Amino acid sequence: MLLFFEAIGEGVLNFLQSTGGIVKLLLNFIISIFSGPVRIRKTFEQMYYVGVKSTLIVFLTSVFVGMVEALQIYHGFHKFGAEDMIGYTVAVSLGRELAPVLTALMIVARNVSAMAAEIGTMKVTQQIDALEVMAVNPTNFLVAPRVIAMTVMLPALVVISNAVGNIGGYLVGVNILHLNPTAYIKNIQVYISMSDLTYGLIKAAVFGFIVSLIGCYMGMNTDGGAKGVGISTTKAVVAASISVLVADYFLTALLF
Amino acid sequence: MIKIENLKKSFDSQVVLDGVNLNIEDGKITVIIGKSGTGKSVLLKNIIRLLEPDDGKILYNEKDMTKLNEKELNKIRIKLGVLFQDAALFDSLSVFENVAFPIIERKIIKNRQKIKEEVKKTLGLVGLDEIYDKMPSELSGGMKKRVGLARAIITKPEIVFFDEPTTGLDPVSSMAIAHLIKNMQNELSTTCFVISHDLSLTFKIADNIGLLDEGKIIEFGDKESFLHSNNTLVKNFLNAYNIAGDEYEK
Repeated sequence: MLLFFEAIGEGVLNFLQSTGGIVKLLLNFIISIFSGPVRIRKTFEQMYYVGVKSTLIVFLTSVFVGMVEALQIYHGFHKFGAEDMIGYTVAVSLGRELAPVLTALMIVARNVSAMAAEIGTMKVTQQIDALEVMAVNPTNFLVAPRVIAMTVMLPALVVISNAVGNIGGYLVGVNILHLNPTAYIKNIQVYISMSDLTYGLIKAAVFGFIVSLIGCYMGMNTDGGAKGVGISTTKAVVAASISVLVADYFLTALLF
Repeated sequence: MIKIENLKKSFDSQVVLDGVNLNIEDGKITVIIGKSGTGKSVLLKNIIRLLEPDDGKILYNEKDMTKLNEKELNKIRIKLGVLFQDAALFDSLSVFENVAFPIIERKIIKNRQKIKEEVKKTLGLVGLDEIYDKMPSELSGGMKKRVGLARAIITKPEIVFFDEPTTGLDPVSSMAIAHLIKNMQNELSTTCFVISHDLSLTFKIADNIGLLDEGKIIEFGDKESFLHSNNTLVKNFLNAYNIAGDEYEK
């Protein structure tokens, strides 16, 4: 019984310690942006890696999500003769929820894990110490370009996700479910509002900011060699994924 | 140049440095030796402020480094060079980019051609040529250390710190690194601070030697006085080395 409470206590302490550490990193990030230098080249490199190189995985995820959605929604809407609204429902659920959340989760798996592993390896091989003794601020050099790149590129990927997901839904709706193509598109145009898309993009930017900060924090706090890098990477993926879902609830409550 | 007074550092209940007093003289090579796990690396990390000392002073030209904020500390750090135990080269950068890194970051030289010339000159100083485009993963341990040394000295620092410079190297590479440190010091008159448990290296390069044991410098002096010290721990340390078959006095 005592061990059970000890485990809970340890978990709470670790959570508080990590939260405090991430807030501290956030403050350092803000300070490092204003104290400079602005690392444009490194930021663009990260944007290319996070954004351009993730396009295919986001494309594949989104097209199948759109296709599945069309199939699933058809089963319900068919009972009420509301098939013409399938296009709109796919578009709005992608725009508001599925595109930002699923893209963020894919990026956590692909990029946040890489961030934690790369920075973690630099930490255990003293490369971050080397930066410090060369009077280079590691937050400015390593964290700022990654956080900025992720915050900018995640919404860009969500735009692609929305487009591709809707195309997937349309293809299934028109070719397999034999829906009216004009009604499919027309209802999207009539009913969808700009906020359905912009709020999704705001969500994506917030997710990008949070998950990159978590990935960098876990990397910067790695110790214990190769095993430590593995542990940090796992922690980063778990914490970032949960954060996406928690932040999603609060943002949805706030925005919609 | 650097004076350390009563430096203390503990990790939880484990006391690692228990009042270290040390004087790193200008233009000389000071080597701190000691058994593994006696806190040599912790001492070095405290001096370059990668670790925060619990107590004591680290005076760099009379300025207490323990009292400085990050901005003030960085003004001192740009006068230092450090060769880490495993060289700590940036593995995403080529040899050229690694060596050029400090001068590009500090904007010491802006002209690309001049940066190339400086990198070439510095790599020549550590006996490396034509490896500019190689990545650190393609280099041997000895080559990595040389590149690390080139990166440490390219800014012409006032003092260079060496963390176990021969650890993990074969005897020939160790000898080469020892010559390199000595030659570099002769050529640039740089102050050097070395921590090592390699007595062969120590007696080849040191002007002053200190023995760290149980968190304190228990013996410190020039090479001759250290060799003839009456301190039992020093004698034991040197005897252990004799048994290993080396002939440092030659």
